Amino acid sequence: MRINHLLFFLSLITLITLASCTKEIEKNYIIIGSTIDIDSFNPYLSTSLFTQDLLDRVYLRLATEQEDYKTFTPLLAKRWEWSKDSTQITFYLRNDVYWTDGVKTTAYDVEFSFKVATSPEVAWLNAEDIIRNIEFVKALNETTLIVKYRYVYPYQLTDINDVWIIPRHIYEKVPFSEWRRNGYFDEKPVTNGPYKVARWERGQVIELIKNENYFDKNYPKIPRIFVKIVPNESNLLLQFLNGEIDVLPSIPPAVAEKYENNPNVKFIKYPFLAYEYIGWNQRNQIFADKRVRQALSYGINVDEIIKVILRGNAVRATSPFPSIFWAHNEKLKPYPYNPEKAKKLLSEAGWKDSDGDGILDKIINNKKVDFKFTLITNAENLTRKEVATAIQNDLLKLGIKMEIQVFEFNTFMRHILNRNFDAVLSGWRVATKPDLATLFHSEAIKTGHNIVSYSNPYFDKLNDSAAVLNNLSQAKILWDKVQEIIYDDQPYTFLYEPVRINGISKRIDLKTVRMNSISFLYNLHEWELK
Amino acid sequence: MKTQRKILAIAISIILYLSFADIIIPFDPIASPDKQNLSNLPPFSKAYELTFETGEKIFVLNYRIYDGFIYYDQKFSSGKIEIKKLKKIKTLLFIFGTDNLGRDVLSRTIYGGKFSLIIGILSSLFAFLMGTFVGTISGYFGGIIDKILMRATDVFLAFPKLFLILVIVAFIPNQTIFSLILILSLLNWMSIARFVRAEFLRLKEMEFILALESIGLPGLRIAMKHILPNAIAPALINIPLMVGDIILTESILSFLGFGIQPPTPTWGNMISEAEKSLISTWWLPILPGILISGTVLIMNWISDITFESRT
Amino acid sequence: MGFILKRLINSIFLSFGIAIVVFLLLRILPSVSFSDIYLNPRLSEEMIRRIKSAYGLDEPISIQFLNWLKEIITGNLGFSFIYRKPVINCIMESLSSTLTIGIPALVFSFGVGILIGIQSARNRGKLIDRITTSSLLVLYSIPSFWLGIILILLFSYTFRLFPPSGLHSFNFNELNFFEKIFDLLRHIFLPALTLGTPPMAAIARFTRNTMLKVLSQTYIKTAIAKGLDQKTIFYRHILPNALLPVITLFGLYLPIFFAGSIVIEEIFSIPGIGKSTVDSILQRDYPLTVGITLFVSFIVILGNLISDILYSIFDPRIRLK
Repeated sequence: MRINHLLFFLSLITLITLASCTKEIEKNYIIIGSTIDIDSFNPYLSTSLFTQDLLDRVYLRLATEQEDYKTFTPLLAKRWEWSKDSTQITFYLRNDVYWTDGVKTTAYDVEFSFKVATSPEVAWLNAEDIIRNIEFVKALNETTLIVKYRYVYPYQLTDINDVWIIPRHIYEKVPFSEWRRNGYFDEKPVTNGPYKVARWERGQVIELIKNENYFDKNYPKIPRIFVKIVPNESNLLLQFLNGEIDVLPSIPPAVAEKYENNPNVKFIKYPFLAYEYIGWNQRNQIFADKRVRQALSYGINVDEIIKVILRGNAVRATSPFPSIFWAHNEKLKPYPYNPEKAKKLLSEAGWKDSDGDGILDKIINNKKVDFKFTLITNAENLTRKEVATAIQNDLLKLGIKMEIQVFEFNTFMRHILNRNFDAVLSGWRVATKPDLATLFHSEAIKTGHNIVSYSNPYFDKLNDSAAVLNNLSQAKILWDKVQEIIYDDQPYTFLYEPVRINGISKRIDLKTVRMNSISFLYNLHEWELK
Repeated sequence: MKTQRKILAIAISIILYLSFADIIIPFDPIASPDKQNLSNLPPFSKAYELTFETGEKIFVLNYRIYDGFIYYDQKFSSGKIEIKKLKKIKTLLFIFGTDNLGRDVLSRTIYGGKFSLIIGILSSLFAFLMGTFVGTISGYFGGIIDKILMRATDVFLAFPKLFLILVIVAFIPNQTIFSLILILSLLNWMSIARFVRAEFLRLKEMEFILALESIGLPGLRIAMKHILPNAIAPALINIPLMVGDIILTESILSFLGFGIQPPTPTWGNMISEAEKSLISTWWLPILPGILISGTVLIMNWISDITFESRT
Repeated sequence: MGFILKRLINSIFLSFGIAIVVFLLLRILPSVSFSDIYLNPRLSEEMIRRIKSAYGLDEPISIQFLNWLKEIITGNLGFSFIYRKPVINCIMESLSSTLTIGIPALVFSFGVGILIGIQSARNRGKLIDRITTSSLLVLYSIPSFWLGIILILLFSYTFRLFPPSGLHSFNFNELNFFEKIFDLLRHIFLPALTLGTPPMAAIARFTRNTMLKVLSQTYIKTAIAKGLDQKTIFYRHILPNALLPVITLFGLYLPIFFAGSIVIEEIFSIPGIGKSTVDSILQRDYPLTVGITLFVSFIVILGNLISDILYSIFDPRIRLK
């Protein structure tokens, strides 16, 4: 028995030593927390936003997109010249950029990358725009590159800058058709950015270290970056608050509010190029009527949703262009919460509670139909579930019965793409070039993402002419009109534009940090420690 | 006799619970009267519902009456109101706190338990019926049919059950309570089938059956009337164990996000949602977890005492 | 020998049956289609078709099944979409994480379980026995995911004694040997405890029952009647006979640990088999899902086989069957 006690104490002591034993290494690093891992170091196979955020720190693009989403500053390209008719751009590349294996980065790499981007075998997610708009890319010599466009349009630089530049001498080794079945590119990625990949343990940690051969010897300032992957959100948050993690993207508003006064952390808020909406499927008889859709927009108390669920961390959305985007029409005011007006519009559209059961009804095709429908949304997004519940309560006050169905993401997407739903609560991330054709054009009803089957010939015409207009200020006038049409038709009820809240520890010098909708690591190489 | 009385008592309390769950809950489990002011209240919090003459209601966390006015505090604001305008004050007690949408945890747990229990009980009943069916056919016909059925049973038994259930549940769209029950019962009948078959084969050789056969009763009638009831009885012991097991499985599925979807609460998905905000609201997973454990415990205990009373 | 051979052939047959069922199941279920669609309004049907063809998903199902069988026979078990590697490599990588938690949990559950079971049986009927039996029943009924959450809440959030996630610290590579072991143990402690507790309770209950059965056997009673030394009776006669059935449990518990790992790895963010399963399902990487299900089925069959063989070695009566 005595031995038992001894054993017990011994194990207790070991436990306590275990628990208290942590060793510090030199604090010249920062740790970024993430709930998801990246999917590949091959940029053409990656799909997630987070992967792109990280890849942008290790691969150089031709130019850097600025925070106005319109202008570009030189990066790999020292400068560029437009041809007289503007269908061709000549890029002059830097001569002092080397891949991490010592080979020089040249225009031939860019030429090869273009081939990759447009290859059907690679099937890059963003390939379509590039294929449609760019005729060819040709390297004249190591530092001179010609990009020839099929026609003139405002986003020529955006498109060519979307092409990731990868080392030809590495990627050539594997035929395109093998790429999706080959883990070769993930083992020792060869890159040319301010950071290089030191290690990648799937699902655990990614380590980036300073690229000693980076062309600008002043950067990066912080020599080591760790990305710690912890799928569990609250777990991650705890580590952030404990100081074990220095940067944490996408913090829930309620948490940010609670820890606002914590001396060790700081929260950076910025508007995100995205919006949340409810799409009313017009294949459903109920939503085919414009007045009904307007009534629904009047009948949902979005301000309360923003206040209660998002703790004020959102801006009301009015159009498919977020308010920080240059094409946004700032004259449009959000639909105010006005249940009376909503009721009036509904009764104008023929919806009355004729049988006194509290639910509106209407005779459609000689059949009495109750105003009942199902709203679908995806399960992963906790906020959406809460928003859906709030909307359910609001609509009930109008005499509308809404059921909520929550699907796992892939199932959810299948429902959307098959147009198999009544109403959907979801969000779009907005591309930095304005084009609404994929969402609202009549041609996108069958195959594209016009999931609500919205059709308005006037919109189609205006959108088509606005999208190719080269003069952005003229285009803006057309875009304003386009948004007015959408505003009046309300194919979606635009809810809000989320505000991104990122946490950052006091160890990092805030003055050096810039975060924006392009990336929360936008200028990671310029960050400094205190 | 004592054992049977215990089982009866538990069965009755489960039935009572299932029929009265909706009535005894103090608050609405799906929607909160005031999302803003009642959210994230810790256990044993009190709140007050002030009803005005106009019929309007507000929810406050604190109030005091002073000089003809009633001063109140809400989560983010405070105010005062003339006492004359006030109609009544109702005290609300949230014993187990509220969640991030201002819903009472106790009510949700009681309400959600209904689904967990129904799924557990119905699935095991179906599984039992199926197992009995397969076992009886196998035992009655014997020969090649028996061989095929038992091989199939073996294949299903060799699967790691949770993996298989997870895969099937996750890949089936439009998950409803019924499809979940169906899947859970489809993957739990195997042991019952084996059990019933073995009993069936044993009974077939018993003297009283041989005697019945010798009087010339038709085989099917003997099987249905005399063998089956005797073969089923011992298999019944497995039911409570199975109910507990399925409730656990369901809660794991819900926890992983593949089971019943919110806003319908089940114990599993309540814990799953609670886990996401564990730091700020630690009290959310406590009660549902205790109730899952308690229910499974009772089921295991029943099977323990029935087993003991048989040996 | 004949018995073992027969069981072996039987197991191979079973594995093949399982492979067919798994594949058919996944292909027949209506919703299983490849979708690599993220919230990207620019992705068109054409792109989806291209991606599908890059993965060989546009071929008829019969051809896909044959291709897949070929993959099984070569030992690849197919090709993972998300990891771009043979499934077997993914499984082997995550297996090491799962075993890092699983083996300590296994040792814990058998070690502690057997000890408690023996103590409980020796004190049969006493207060201590009654307390142990009822607490074992409680432990046995607690869902492991809830136990995990409570342990995290207590030991990581409140007392900050153990890290709540992962298998090692981010600076693991820079630590010296002893620090590495410390670091690993710190990370393993909570998940292994969570994973091991319910089986521990089950094993303790089982051990207690077999102990009691042995105690009631006539030869033990004779030994006691003969007046043999208490210790001799216990270590020579009771213990070996009681532990034999417990050891055969080993094979049967392998699948339970794999099933448990699904939940534990999800809670503690450990990149093991269980987490791979859930991830592969969420990302629709069906070759990986199928591969893992198949692999774990093999392990279940293997576990049963080992159990049978162990039993037949220890208990000659079985062999006669």
